[in-house]
Amino acid sequence: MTDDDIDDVPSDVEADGGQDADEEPFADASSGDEEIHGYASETPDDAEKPDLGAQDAAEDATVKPDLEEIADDPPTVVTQSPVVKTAARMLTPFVVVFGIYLTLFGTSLPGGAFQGGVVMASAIVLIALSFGFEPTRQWLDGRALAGLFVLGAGLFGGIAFSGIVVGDAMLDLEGYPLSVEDMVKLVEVAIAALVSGVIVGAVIWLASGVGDEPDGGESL
Amino acid sequence: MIWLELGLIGFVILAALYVAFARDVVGTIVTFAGLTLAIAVIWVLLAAPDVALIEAAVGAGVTSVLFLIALKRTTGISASGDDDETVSAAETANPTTDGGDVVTDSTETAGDGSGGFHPLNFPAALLVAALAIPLGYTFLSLDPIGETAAVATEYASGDTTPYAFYLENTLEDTGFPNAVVAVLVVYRGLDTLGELIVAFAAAVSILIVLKREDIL
Repeated sequence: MTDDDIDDVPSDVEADGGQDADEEPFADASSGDEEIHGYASETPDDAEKPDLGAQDAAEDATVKPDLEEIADDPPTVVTQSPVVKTAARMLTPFVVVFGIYLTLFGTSLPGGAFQGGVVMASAIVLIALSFGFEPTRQWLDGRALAGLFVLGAGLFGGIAFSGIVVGDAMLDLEGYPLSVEDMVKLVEVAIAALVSGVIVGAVIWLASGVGDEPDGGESL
Repeated sequence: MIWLELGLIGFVILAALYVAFARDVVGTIVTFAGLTLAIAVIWVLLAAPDVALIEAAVGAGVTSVLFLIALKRTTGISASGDDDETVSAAETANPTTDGGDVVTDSTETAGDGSGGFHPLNFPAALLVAALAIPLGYTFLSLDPIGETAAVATEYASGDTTPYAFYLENTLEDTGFPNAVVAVLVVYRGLDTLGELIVAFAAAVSILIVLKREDIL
């Protein structure tokens, strides 16, 4: 695997082996690019320096960093390994498909809605760990994520309370035109949507701002 | 096969001791993920694959990520080990060496260079031992793994324990064989609905606390 195969690193960055302080790292993130790759892997300043002695490191820590320098600093990307990025990009569809399989076949095989929802959510968490939390938050649509768990809660609640009208009691699944197994699968889809939305939302929203300043209110 | 189980149990005990006593917080989180994965394999050996799936996905996956996020947001130590600009005064005074030196102040210093272990807290250890004794006694009274014939005879004799009832009636009541899902959705659907309301409220609370009105 040569350096030309790595499309995550811009050519000018790998040419001089360093970083351009003026370069916007997420320039193509704001251009509506649907693809997840293309974020420049910026190395922090500390990694550029050769291994200093302990005294120099202590001196560097005591020196207050320049404010303009901080403003120009790119947000830290969690990992810079092309191996991790490529593996995450290849694994993610299979993980999502496995989550759907667990959700739909949970009635007759080991698995279920909670398991399937968490496995689907862990695919997005894998992407966030590989490509950075803040790019992933910009790539995901927050309204769709919130809509996932609102839809899951609404679907399960609707099935639960319409059992009063259709059947004998709340959560009675026997009065519907579908069989009980199919109604259970519908409920499982609702549970999986809610669980995956909640877990992805928790991880992404709590972690957004790791590596740079959080833009949601004051710091905790 | 007994060696695999004994090795897993030994690994879980050692990893739990390391998690309880080590000062290195990042190493503790990684060790905790490994411990959870070993427990998931133990669930598979105990013929509980549903529990193993949720244990591996939530316990080893998402929880470790949330721990790392919390560590990053509080102390500024990233998962890759390099610190941010904010270096604590103690670390500045004595720069990082390869373990061995005991940190004098009682504050938790995370990350590299803070080797060593916490001292044993004797009252807490006594409390844990007092809790472990009834748990072990309860473990001795469990049925053998996978004794479906014993469950059937027990159900036929009129002694209807709950799990015998579910295992006997799931297929004819619902039409599918997985008793775990049947208990979750059909027999105990109201509990699952309450669980999901709790999860929904947690997500909404995260949004409220973070004040992200631009999402909705």
